[in-house]
Amino acid sequence: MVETNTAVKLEGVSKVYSMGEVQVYALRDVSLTLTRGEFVVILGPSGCGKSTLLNIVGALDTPTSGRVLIDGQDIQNMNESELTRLRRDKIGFVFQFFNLIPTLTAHENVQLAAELVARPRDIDQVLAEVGLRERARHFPSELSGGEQQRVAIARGLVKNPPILLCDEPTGELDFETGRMILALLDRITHELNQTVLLVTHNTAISAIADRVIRLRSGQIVADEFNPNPLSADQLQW
Amino acid sequence: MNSIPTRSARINFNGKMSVLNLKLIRDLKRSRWQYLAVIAMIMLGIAFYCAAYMTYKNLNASYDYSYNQLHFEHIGIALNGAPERAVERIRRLPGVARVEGRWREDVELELPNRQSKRFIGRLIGIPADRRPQVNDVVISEGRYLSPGTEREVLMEQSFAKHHRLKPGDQVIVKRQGQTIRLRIVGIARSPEYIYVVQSKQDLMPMPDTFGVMFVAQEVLGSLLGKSGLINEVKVTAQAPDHLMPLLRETKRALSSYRPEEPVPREDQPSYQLMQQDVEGFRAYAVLFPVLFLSVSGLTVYTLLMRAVHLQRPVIGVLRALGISRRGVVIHYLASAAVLGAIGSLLGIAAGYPLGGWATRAYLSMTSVPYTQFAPQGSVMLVGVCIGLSVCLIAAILPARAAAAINPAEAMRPPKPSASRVPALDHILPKLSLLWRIPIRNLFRQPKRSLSTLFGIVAAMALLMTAQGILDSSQATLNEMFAATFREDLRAQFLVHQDRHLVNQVRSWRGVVWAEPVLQIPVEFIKGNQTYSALLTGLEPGTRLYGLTSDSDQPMSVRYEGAIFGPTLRKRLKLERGDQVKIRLPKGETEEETREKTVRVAGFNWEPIGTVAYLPIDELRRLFRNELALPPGAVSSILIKAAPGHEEEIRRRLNALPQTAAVSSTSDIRKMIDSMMELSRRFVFIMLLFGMGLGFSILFNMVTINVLERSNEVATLRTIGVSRAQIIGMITLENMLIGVIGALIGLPVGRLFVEGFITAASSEEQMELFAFRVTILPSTYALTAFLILIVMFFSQLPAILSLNRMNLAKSAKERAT
Ligand SMILES: Nc1ncnc2c1ncn2[C@@H]1O[C@H](COP(=O)(O)OP(=O)(O)OP(=O)(O)O)[C@@H](O)[C@H]1O
Ligand SMILES: [Mg+2]
Repeated sequence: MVETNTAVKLEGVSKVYSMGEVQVYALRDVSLTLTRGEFVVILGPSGCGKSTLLNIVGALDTPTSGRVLIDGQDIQNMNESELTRLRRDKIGFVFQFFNLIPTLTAHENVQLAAELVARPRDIDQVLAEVGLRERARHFPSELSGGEQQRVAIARGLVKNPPILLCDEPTGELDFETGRMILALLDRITHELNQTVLLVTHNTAISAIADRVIRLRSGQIVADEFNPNPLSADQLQW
Repeated sequence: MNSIPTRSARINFNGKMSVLNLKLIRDLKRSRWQYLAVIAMIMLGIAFYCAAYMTYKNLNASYDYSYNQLHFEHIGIALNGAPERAVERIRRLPGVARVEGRWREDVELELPNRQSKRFIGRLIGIPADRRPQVNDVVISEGRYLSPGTEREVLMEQSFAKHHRLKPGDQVIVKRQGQTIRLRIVGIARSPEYIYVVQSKQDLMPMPDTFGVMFVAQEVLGSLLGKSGLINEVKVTAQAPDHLMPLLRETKRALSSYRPEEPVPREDQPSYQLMQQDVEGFRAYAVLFPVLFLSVSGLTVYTLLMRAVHLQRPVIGVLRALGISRRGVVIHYLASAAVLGAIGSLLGIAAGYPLGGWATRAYLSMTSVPYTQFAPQGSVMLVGVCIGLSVCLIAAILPARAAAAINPAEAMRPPKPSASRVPALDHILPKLSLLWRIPIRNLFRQPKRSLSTLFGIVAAMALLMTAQGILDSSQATLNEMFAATFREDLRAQFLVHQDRHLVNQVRSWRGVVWAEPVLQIPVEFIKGNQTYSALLTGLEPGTRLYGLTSDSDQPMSVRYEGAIFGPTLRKRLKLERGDQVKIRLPKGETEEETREKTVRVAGFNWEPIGTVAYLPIDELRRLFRNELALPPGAVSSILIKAAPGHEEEIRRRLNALPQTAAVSSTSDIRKMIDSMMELSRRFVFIMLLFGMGLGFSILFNMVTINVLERSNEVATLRTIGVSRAQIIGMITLENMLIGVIGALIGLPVGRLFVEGFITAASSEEQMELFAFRVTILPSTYALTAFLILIVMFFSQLPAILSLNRMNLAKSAKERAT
């Protein structure tokens, strides 16, 4: 059945911010279906609504109109504790600005997320995968921007979520490290059948995606499947 | 709030600054709850200051006015008996303004409707054809005495009130077997008896058993067979500040009538008690506002410091845009001034009615002849100034810290604040990380934790000071009753009785035990110090008069010397083994008395009174000759009654012809309790203020603590931590710091109580009332409990606002 393979479904979603008289359409009538195991890249200029879309998919935000179904469940009908459970069990988030807990070490930041779910991945292994085995005992204040970003990624990965949402996960990373992270994401989609939704302005990254969605002024202007995605180590930018 | 922009705009000097004002207003609006709490704190401090100081000023004004209007004595001299014309000798002395001579005598008093009860009455002769030159009275009901030989009397108000006597009622005076009926024509208030006490030795007002009456001097003379005689001269001076020469002169002028030492106004018993009360009140009026306002000031300081810290990036931008350091300083000072102005204006608005209430409540407890009530504008003005300056002073350091911010540094994207694993973490068992975060947060920003701790400790100190004062006074009284007044009834005699009366009373039905007491007023002399006190004779092994040592051990009288109370010990600087001279006051005996000597055998502890103790037979022996004491002389009997028999025994005691007055311990207790009622109410108000202040402080601290962490909380929520868990974490963090605060706060609170009681009790007061600092365990428990409860509720608004927080919005913000 096609339905069981659907991870996220957006139907006519709009998000409007009212600033007094002015209404800002961050998203305008967006419809979108994400399948399991799909690696989707969202491309678009700054301010086009990428983060807004990610927040809605991650049940952090509610649309002004339209329907959002995650794993077949309409988030409109969920109460706060159901939303919390959804975020805890189904969604992994990698924030544009990391948002690590300053009082916890890199390891503990990851561990915190791991403690919340029933079957987390191995913390040390995830840290090793993002290349932070040596930095595990450091506090966020003792890490570089790129290292902090990788802790944020590890925190998203460790929950082993069916849906992983990454907002500019390679923004602070050098080419080599960025490619390593992308390879990691690429692998989990195909090996673990997880859905990755990755936001970026970097068009080069779209070469490894299964599907590329272009957003402009809150609207989807293109939604293309990539017949032959490159593997991450073939990537150049 | 509308007036603020224009007002502060005027403070500023160029157009660029107006945006800063916009920021000021937005800041105020954004953190309105915290700023409201600051305003509330300043308001409470100022309201309390205004109310208390206004009351103090009004009390003083009322006393001063009454003393002036009624020509209250500057000097009083007791004589052994002199012709009325002796007054003329005083009148002629330079520096004397007014003189009045009179006869004064204590008698047995009965009320017709309460024949079973005896009272001690004091008859004072005053002129009937004119008002007294000195110590005039105010008639609150009825009229003044009429000239002539009518047996009319003015009854002093406290006794009249207590026994519901009205003009037209009769009183019965008994003297040497003679019964005299007097008719009350008026109820009077006298400057001499604002606090109605019998003598310096007996400073406890007893409106129950002691009544003062004013009778025409002529009538009194003929009733007592003392026509044309006086035994007291009262004087007012032209220069009250230089009484010493006049004291000497008056004594010399009357030397042929065997005068006692002249008593200056300062030593007059009612005046002394009044002074003590008013000074005690002043201590409250000063110390509590000082406490409140310093706590408020420190809290404003903390609040602004944190505001500056939070606004670092903004301040950096403002500075980079070219706003001067001075502009930044003025900006923060202006915020503080706005808060201070609003707070203190509200404070005086609340303080004014409170002060009015306090003045009236206080004065209604005394018999002050005239009540003066003025708005005391100066107090209010000072209140506003204090409120403003507290805020401005508190703002100086934060303002300077803001100005010192380096714009380049402040604008750089913030690094996550540093953290480290506290030692505690290794000790604790493997808790879930969710529970470790709160513990680490305490150590993450020590400054912030310290300021919160400070708030908790301050709030506890406030609560405990008020409650501790109540505890201490209550405990002191309880101790006094439990340790000293073990009897149920005490019968007093004006004339010494023989000890067989004691045996007789012992045989009565319902009497568990009866014991004789002999009390003789004496002067103790050591070195150049003289102090008048009661020398009290007790049976060795007394069961009803408890003596306790400094260390709460029971003591008994000793044959090797006298036991002295704390006041005498301090006043005369006594050491164990010292020799103390004893002299009978003049007028007590016909002959010039020989001085006796007694050794200091020990010291007891008691809260009230200036008393020394000897075995009763030793005391009888000591003064047998001078006072012509019978071998078994007794001046009062203490009685322990079997349950249910007290009334019957009281009736029988009153029926004895020799009895002057019967007082019951439960009545005294009730009376003291009712006298304490007012101070209890004052303390209760202080407690309310303390709670309000404590709540404001904690509310501030906790709200900031929680809100500062909103980004962190948002992150936790987005990764799936539930609301309940968040509430649990924040509560845990706050309760942890609450418990630490309580542990520090309790001993600090005790220090406050001690400091306060020491500061509030002047030398003078310690002399009259030896106070021991006591804080009940329940007070400790209650304070700690209240603090935790207040902390718990203070965090709720912040937590609720976190729960309403827009996760999407926070997720887009940078973590700090
Ligand atoms: N809370 C808000 N109130 C008003 N407008 C908002 C709010 N949040 C976002 N917007 C607007 O919605 C639009 C989309 O914002 P969003 O953060 O999704 O952009 P973005 O594509 O992620 O940009 P960037 O690549 O710069 O991160 C923007 O025009 C922004 O100004
Ligand atoms: Mg974005």
